[in-house]
Amino acid sequence: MRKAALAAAEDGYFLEADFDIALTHTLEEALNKGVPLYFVLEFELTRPRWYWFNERIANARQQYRLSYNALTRQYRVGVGALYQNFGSLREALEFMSRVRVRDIVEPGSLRKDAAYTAVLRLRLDTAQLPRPFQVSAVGSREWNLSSDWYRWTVSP
Amino acid sequence: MSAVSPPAKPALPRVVVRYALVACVGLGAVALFLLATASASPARFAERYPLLLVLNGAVAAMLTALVLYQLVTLRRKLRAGVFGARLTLRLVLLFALMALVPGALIYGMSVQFLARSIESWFEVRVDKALESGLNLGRGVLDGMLRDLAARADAMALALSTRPPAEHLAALNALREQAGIEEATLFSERGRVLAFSGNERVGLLPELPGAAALRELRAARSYSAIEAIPDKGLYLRVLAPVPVLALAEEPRVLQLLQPVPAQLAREAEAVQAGYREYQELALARRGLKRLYGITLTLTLLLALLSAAALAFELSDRLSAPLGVLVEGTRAVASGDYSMRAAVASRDELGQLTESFNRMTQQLAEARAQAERHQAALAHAKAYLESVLANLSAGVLAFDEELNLRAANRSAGDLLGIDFAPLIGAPPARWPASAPGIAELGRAIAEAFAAAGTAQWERQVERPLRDRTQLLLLRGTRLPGATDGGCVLVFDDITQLAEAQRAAAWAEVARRLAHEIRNPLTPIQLSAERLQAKLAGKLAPPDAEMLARSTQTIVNQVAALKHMVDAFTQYARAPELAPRELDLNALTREVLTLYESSLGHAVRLELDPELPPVVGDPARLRQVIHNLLQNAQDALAGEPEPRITIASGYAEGMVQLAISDNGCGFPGEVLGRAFEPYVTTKPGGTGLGLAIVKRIVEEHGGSVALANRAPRGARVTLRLPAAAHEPARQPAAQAKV
Repeated sequence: MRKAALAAAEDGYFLEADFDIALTHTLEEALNKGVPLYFVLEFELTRPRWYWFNERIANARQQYRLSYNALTRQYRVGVGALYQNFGSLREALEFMSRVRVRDIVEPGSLRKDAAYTAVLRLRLDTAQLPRPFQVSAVGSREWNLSSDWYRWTVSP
Repeated sequence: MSAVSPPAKPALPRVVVRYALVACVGLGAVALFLLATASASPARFAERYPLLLVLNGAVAAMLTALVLYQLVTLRRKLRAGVFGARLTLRLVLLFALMALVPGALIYGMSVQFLARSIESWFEVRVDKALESGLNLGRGVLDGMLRDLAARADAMALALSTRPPAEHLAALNALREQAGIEEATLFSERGRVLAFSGNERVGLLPELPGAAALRELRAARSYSAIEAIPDKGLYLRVLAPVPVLALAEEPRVLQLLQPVPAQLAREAEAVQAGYREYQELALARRGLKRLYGITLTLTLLLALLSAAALAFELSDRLSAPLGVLVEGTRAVASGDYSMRAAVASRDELGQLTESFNRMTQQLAEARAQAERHQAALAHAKAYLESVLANLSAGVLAFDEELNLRAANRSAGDLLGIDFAPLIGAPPARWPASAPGIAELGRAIAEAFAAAGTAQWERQVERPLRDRTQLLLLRGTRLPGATDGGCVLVFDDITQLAEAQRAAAWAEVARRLAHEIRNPLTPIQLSAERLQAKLAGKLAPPDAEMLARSTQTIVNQVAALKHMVDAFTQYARAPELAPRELDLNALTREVLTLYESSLGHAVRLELDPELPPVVGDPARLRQVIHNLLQNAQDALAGEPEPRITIASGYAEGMVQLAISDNGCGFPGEVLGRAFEPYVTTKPGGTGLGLAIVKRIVEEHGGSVALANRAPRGARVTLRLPAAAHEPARQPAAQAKV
């Protein structure tokens, strides 16, 4: 995680974040053998309350699908129904590293005088791996790729 | 089995363990099913797989804990020596072995088989074939791309020579000529300059992405196979149109050609196969681990369940034994209550049932024995009470003739306590009472003489003032009933006396009857002799006649008197009893002797004397007879003295008449009350006999004794009226 910010726009807020994604050797090998990798971007915006549980303002989750087409020798990153092809893995990862999510918070749901806490992380979703890899993934560092929770304070 | 102690109280109730066991086994079955399902079908539960693993592991841990707990419990039971624990242990080991061996065998086989079969999927040939297929596809596609790129270069070159106005027409012609689906000419900034497509192409061109343009700028060419959504696989080639003039804007020609559908499908299939194969090859280790873990968990759960079930089953199997042991102990300590029957239809159930039946029969037998004992005790008590209340005395002796038992009447009759004599032979009885030692010797002799036969004997036993006549009957008991001898005896003194009295009465009646009849003719004959002969005889003869006649008459009169006395004795008139004062009666009789005795009589009468019930005439005769006797005894005595004393003791009124006369000679003293026993020259010997008879008719007794230094005393004892008012003297007289 390099940086992350919540920026205000005309029609709400959008999330800007930059990551450093480095696949492990095992993951890269699996990817090149055709195994699709799913990444999940998790974002949560809360307002701390000292007297009760924190109030949850926004909660977002976005899935990336990184796959390799052996026939065309292209990497593909899919976000929802959209996708983009890349000739090399580096390009595909670079694309994924720059996260820009629009409308992540409803406009007007943030008050000017309050401070909010935002947390963000990007991780490999091992549950989406084919089943045999899941067994291997349990407790294995090679198969676990996750940024720490990045936490920052938002005061609009 | 060493020290037997009560069953150790388990820390958990058995029911809890049982429920835990059932829950664990059920949960294990469900978890295993889910795990197997997840292992078998890739799609379902895929994301839950780690959770399933954890669940199964947890169940296995629970089962392990349960088995350990059961082991600890069993160990404690073994230590405590609970009955059935060893059997449980053996059964558990047996069950566990039976589960372990086949389980391990199947497990080993499965793992081996699994490893082999998984490895057999991956062969170098298949790998190579797929790789080659993929490469073939790539080669074909690459060839097509190269061909398209060549055409694009040619078209670009052709276009470069044309002015921009002709671009569209040229593009169209060139496209048609080359048989290409879509051709687009656009500036480097992305503005479309010309667009041509065949009938399958839409109105708008498919523009390349930014990345393609970047690559084009860098490499001056771009060719790639792209999958366009909704259209399938396409070959896209970008070729820069050569710039002839510097002012001209750089242009790019894009050709889009679909990959033939058939080829695309085949290539896609090859790729999919290749991908899956690679995926599998990568996941080989994971798969082995997956199946291995599933199998291991299955084995573990099965074994643990079997072990836990083995504990439970063994407990169940050995439980009836515990019940039986408890029952046996209870029976041994005399508790015949029913045991809880084991509700099973097998032999163990039958065993407990028959044990219960046996216990019940034992209880019934004991109850019956107790009833018999009670009945026997009752019969014995009854017999003893009969014996005790028998008027006859009963003595029982053992084989050696030692006294075993004596009833109450025996002691009463002999006036001694038999308790200290128990165990002593009769020959050695001490002289604790007069005549007892002699009686004992007589008994011993009689038994010795009679042998096994019955004997009967009368024994006289001298008492202080009378003689007791005892009738002894001895019998040897038959050997079947313990042996020994029984002696029954009775005081027949009164019976004998009554018999004697009755005999005498008969004699007297006959005598009186026989004698009285001739007496009157004798007297009459004598008187007539004198009357006829008195005048005819000489005076001396006449005088002798008169004297003789007188003698005859006198003697006949005396005989008549005697016969009257006999008659009186024999004929006992009916008593006319009433209450009377013995003192007054005595004084009345004494008036007759006022003249003859007078001063010699001294009265010591008790003024408080209670009345007696009696016939005054008869009692008057008694006193009369006694006074007469006393008077006769005092004949010739210089200082005659008669003392008459009355008194009251123990419900009897006493009247004692003592004198200081000659007394009774020793040989007479014992039989003085029998008729014709007399010491007086002119006595009939009936006086005391009549006294005795009358007194006994009144329910009393009379005793005779000599006084020291001289004289005799007769003591009458009559029952006082206050004590026995309704006495029937007549009945008494008939004994």
